[in-house]
Amino acid sequence: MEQITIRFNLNGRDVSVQADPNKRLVDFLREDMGMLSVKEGCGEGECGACTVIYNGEAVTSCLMLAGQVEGGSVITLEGVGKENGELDEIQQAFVEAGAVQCGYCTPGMILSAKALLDRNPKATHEEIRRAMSGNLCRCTGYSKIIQAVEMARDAKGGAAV
Amino acid sequence: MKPFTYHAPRSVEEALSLLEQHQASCAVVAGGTDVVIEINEGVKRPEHVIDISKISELRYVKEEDGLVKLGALDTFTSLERHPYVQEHLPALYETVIHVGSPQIRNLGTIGGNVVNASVAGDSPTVFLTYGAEVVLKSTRGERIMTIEEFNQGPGNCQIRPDELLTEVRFPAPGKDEAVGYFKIGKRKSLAIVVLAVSVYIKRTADNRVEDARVILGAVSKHPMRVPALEEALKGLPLTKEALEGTLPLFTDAVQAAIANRPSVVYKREGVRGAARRCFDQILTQFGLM
Repeated sequence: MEQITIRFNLNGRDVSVQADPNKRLVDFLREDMGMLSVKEGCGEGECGACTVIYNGEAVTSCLMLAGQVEGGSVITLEGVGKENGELDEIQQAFVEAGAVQCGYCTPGMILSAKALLDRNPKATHEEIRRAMSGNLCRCTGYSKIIQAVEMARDAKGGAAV
Repeated sequence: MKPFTYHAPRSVEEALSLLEQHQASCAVVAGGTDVVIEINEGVKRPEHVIDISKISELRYVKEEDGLVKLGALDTFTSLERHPYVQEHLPALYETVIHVGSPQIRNLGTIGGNVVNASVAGDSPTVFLTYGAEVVLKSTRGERIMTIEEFNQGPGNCQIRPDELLTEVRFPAPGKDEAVGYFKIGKRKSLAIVVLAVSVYIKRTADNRVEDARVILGAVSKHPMRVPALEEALKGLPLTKEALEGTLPLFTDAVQAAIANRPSVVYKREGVRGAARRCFDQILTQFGLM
């Protein structure tokens, strides 16, 4: 099978990789790029565990082929923390709110929240609920997750009016 | 996943030539929200995958010669955010905001939604209400057909193996035309259509129904027009009371369409609520409510 070259920006770094075209983005990110924060859940785009940010928007990486990110940018959880090693406001808020139990859905949750707050720093409660509606969590019951995103919004200085 | 050769054309022309060459065994990926699952699970085993997601010339919303033209690669999110859709196409807006989840709306395209022709699809219903046509291109030329002719049910849309659906278009609604849409799903997000109702009404100068189209989604293998209702609506005054007088006919239509299905019990009731919401939307658009 002929390999393809995929050039894209991963977590702020331009990369060029030879890869097998017969891979979904989730498998490519985990197996070829070592981005193990990207979790596969349902494999059908229904659970949101494999969410990454592609060109600024939250997408489920189980529904994309690896080659589709050519020329684009991808952010995984590995690219969310601050450069000095500290947690980003969203991660910090998830810790403080107790929004994590088993943790499997957490990377996807944080990336959906980041995609929202990057685009809409003053997101309302309802906008947050809608933006997080494609991510399922079987542990927490969601209240603390929504609360964490609101805390992160406030910490980033975007308090709702 | 069965090994395939991956192609990522950058133009329609390039895509059409690839389709001509590989039509015997290929899959077209746009948003991928259906096809990538099918390829991954081995339901589809193409030798060639043509990823058309990089063809930027197929992403547009424009009004031209009295027609609204939507590029096949418009995503649900791009339509939701588009000022023209927000302002002039409230029923399409209502449709796209309720598709799947944010992640699915960011990837999924209207072209894919129409070609996939799922029984429980979101946009084919409202496109039928708008009186849409699809544009199909191949190296042999171009075909235009109504969405009614095109959509013959799952796996049976009238696209040829070497064709690409490039555009969905329909007459731009005038000030005397309004369209309503309401979807019933099992939950707010990540829900396929359990039942959809969409209504188009053209009014006379004295606020009566001059013309109507009534479409039911997810009660047939493809969105279904209900001629009996369209006739019943004609001539009615545009008031809530008069329009809601037709609600029993909605129940009759659902009963007739899916009489032997267990879901008929709740769909024949639910259809009234959905129809009422459509009428409310239409009256609001006309400034009569």
